[in-house]
Amino acid sequence: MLNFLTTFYANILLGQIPMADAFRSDGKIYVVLAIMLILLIGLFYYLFRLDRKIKDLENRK
Amino acid sequence: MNYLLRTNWWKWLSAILLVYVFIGGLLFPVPRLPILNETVRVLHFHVPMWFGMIFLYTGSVIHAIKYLSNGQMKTDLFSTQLAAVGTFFGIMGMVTGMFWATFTWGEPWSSDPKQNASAIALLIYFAYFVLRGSVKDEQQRARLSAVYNIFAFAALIPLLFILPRLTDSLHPGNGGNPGFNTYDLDSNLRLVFYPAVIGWTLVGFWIATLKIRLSLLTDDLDA
Repeated sequence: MLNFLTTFYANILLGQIPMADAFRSDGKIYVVLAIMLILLIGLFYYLFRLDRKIKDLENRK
Repeated sequence: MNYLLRTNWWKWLSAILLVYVFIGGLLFPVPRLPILNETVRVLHFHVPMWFGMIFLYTGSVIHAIKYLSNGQMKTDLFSTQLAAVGTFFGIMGMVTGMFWATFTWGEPWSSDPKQNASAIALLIYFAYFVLRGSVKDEQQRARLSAVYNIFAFAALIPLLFILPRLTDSLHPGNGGNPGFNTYDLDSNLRLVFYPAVIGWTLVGFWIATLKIRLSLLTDDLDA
């Protein structure tokens, strides 16, 4: 346990934690982001449409 | 709750916040942590599901108590639909957590105390809906499930906040692990995390209002 913790913090100090830096510099992260945004905005479009439909039904009553 | 049924501004706010969360969540710098690496960004999606669940369940229990005092079916409807969306958020939190755990803890289910406790909490709320389905009379169903709701909510406190902190746990902030605070006291995680909690919670309440309005229109109390 102690050995694990020591290497754990040592790694952080040495800055040797692998991250997706290459992915970012390739610009591929923007592809991921664009896809996620398409999904998110599509979802919100659906929610707003549903909201309006229900409002119309309520007003008609 | 009636305020949420009458107004719209907070829906636009939730949309703006979540677009910001998606962009910032992926592009802002994050602490370089072993084991987690880039998946720490999942923080802004997995954890707000649980926060949202708690807020929704809180709304649900408030209306359960309100129903017991005013006996109006509309209040019971609010209570039920808030519990339904809360349970959905809980399931989403569970599934995203298991997926995240597969890659970081090595397996989807580690019998981590918080995993077990949140599974139990969800089962208790599943039983709430089974209970509702089993009672035919409207008023009796509403009264019975309102009381059950209060006990279910009360169970959340020890299950989710006390038990996991008492023993060894894999979750940050529990069982001797440092909370995420020690990783990011001056970092950028909070810049995205707080808006994420607000944004996802608002979406949860929005879905609840839609379900409520729909069932008020169709007079079907279990829309």
